[in-house]
Amino acid sequence: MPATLRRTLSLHFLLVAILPATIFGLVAIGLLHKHLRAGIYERNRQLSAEIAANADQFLAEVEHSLKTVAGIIASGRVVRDGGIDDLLETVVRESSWLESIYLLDSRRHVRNLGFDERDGLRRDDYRDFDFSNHALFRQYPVIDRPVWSDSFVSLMTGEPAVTLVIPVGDGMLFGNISLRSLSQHLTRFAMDSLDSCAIIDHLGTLVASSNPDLTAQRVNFSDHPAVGRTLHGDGETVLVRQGDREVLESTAPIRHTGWVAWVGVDMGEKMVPVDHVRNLLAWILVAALLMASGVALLDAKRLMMPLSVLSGQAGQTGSGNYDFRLPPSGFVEIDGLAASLQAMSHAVRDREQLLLDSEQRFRQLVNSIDGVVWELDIPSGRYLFVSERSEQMFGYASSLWQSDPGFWACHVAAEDAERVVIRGRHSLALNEMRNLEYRFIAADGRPVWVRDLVTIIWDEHEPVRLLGVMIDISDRKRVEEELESYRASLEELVAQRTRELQAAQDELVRKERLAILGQLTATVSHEIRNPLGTVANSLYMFREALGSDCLGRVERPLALAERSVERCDGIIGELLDFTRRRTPQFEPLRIDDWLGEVLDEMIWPDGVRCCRRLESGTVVQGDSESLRRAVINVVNNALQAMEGKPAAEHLLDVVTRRQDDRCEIVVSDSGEGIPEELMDRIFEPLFSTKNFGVGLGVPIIRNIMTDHGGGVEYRSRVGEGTTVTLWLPLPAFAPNGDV
Amino acid sequence: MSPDITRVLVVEDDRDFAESLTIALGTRKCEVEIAYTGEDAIRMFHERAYDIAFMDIKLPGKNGVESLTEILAFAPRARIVMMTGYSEPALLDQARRAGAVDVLRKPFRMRDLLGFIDRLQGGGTQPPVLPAIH
Repeated sequence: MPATLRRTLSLHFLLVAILPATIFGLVAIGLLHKHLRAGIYERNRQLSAEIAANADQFLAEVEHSLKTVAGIIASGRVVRDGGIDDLLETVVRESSWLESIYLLDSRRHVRNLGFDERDGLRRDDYRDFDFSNHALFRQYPVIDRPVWSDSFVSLMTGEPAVTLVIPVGDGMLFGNISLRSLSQHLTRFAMDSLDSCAIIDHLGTLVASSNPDLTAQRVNFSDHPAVGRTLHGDGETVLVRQGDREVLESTAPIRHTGWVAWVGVDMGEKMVPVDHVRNLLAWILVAALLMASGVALLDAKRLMMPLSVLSGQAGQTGSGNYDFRLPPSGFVEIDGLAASLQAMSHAVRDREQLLLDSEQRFRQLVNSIDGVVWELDIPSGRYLFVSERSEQMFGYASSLWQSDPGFWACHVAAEDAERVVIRGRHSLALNEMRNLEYRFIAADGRPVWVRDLVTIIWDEHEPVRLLGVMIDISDRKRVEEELESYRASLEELVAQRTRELQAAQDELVRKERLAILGQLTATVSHEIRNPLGTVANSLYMFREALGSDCLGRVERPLALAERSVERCDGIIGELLDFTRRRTPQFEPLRIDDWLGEVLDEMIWPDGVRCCRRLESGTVVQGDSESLRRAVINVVNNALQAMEGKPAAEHLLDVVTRRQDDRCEIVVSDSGEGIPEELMDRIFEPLFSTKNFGVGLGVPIIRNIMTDHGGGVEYRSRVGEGTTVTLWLPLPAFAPNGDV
Repeated sequence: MSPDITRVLVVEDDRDFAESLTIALGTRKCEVEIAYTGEDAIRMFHERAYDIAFMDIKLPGKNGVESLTEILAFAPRARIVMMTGYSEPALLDQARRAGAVDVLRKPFRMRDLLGFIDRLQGGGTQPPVLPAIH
């Protein structure tokens, strides 16, 4: 039958419980020992004091008795012969302590005496006995008070005795006192056999004792320290070691005779029962200790072996080894524990397998997500998990993230770092970081647009972990950028189209206005030109009818009328030219030759010096007729500008030249010039500084030059003249003007 | 009719202008008739021959160029000088191509018109070169 752990442990508990009980017993015994000892001390001291008091009383009574006898004798009341001897004899006979008594004369010879003749003494033997050589008288030559002698052994009784001398008249009363009663008295005190009581005289000699043998031996106690000290002072209690014994000695002084009462106790013997109990307890303690140690060692070995095996097996369970077998330990409980552990380990194994399966499924699920799933520990800044999709999305193995805490921050694109990394941390503190979009630099260096969906895990008051999913949004970003680009270009396109439409509309409005104006002008000019023609015809008829001889005073009015008709016709012509812009009929023109012919055809006022330098050597594409009108307009304006100056200063400079990619016709006059504030207005239709003219000359010139892809430029200084530059673009295929 | 007399047809809807021409032509040996519309002119050319005609391009009804074309269709030798205050260049080109002798731009100098008469009536000075009208 196997042992049970309970029984074994109970035994251990029992053994162990004995130890404190025994120790408690030992302590109690120690206290008891101390208490008893103190009691013995006190009792010893009191006993010695009591003995001393009794002895004092005894001696006082003795002295009183003898003083009474001395008083009787001294009073002289005993007058009959032999009366004193009778008195003394009676006193001896009636006292238990007086051995003999003598009345000495002045010579210290016995005059009277009394003693108990039953002791075999004969009175006459001591009559007139000379005591002058007695040791007492050598010690006290003069006796004028009661004097006690040293103790001595009575020849009569063989027991300690003492002599008391009391002066009577010129003689003295001399009594020998037996101390046997003191010894008997002491026997009463020493009821316990272990106690010894004694009375010691001032020489240290034992005069009375509870032990009769010691009394007879007249043992000297002066070598006892307490005795010696008490002879010269007060009593005391000391423990004295005598051989293998411990004796407690107490002393008290007997004042009457300077003796000492002594009480001695054998402490060893006195404490024997207590010491026996103490020793027994000590033995029990040692035995219990030994037994407990032995049993503990034995059981520890029996217990620890299967337990350590169990612990090892449990450790292996922690390492993943769930199959173990434990040999029977001999303890029911341990075997049961082993069985439970085994069952538990099997359950753990099954659950671990379930967890593994579950984790595998979870891992597959996480890795199948089209994004990098990650988990970050905030205090350490380390990634706890990064899904395998990282390898596919960025070309970084998951382990790279986990080994380097700064991995993520180092790979956020520099453009987004400030926004995402720094403000991201700030946002984290504010619990605002939720959804980030930024570029992440992949292993091959290309930036990948990602959306990072972040969840913060809080522990009480601070964030501890971050969970997130990084989704590749490159496609969306590209589409957004394309859309943005499309939107921008669309806006630009719309703006351009709007501008074109506006321009077209403006052009349409302008053309419409011009068309209406042209139509109006055409109608008006036709309708006006008929009456003008009638007027001209009529003027012709006037001139014909009067003949040149008879014109006389109407010559000038006739000429004014004819010129007005021409002016009206000119105005109508200008209006028609301005409103009716014909499509240029381009042809190659050698500009130098062509301009020379145009100038030659013109009718020049008298006095105008025209200086030509036609040396451009260029050929341009131009509408000869339109350009001719432009040149004529420019020249006519120049001529009109010079009309206000003296004829000698009428100088017209006409130059052709090639300037970079254009051909220029430059006409400079020496006229009044155009004030600067009017320079901008000369291109406005219907603006004119002349007192006649419609103000369409310069706009017509500009229209013609614009139709040719060229332009007109005016430079003028008031008082010095105006320079007009008509320019035409040079055809790229004929840089040298060769056709 | 005396062969010295030049038969002239003025086709002009502006009666004042037509009259002023008639007066001026009266200074030469001319027999002047006036048609106010193109249709009248065509009818009158049907009825008799004219040495020369001065016809406005802008006329009510058939315009000058249409009338010219029609007249020259049945009287190819007819001399017709066109007159215009203002006309589309295309119309003028059409007139020249249709066979107009010349085109006078109103208000023209009477000398220019009379030059045609003078040349018909036996020599005299050449008519001036007229600037092209567009």
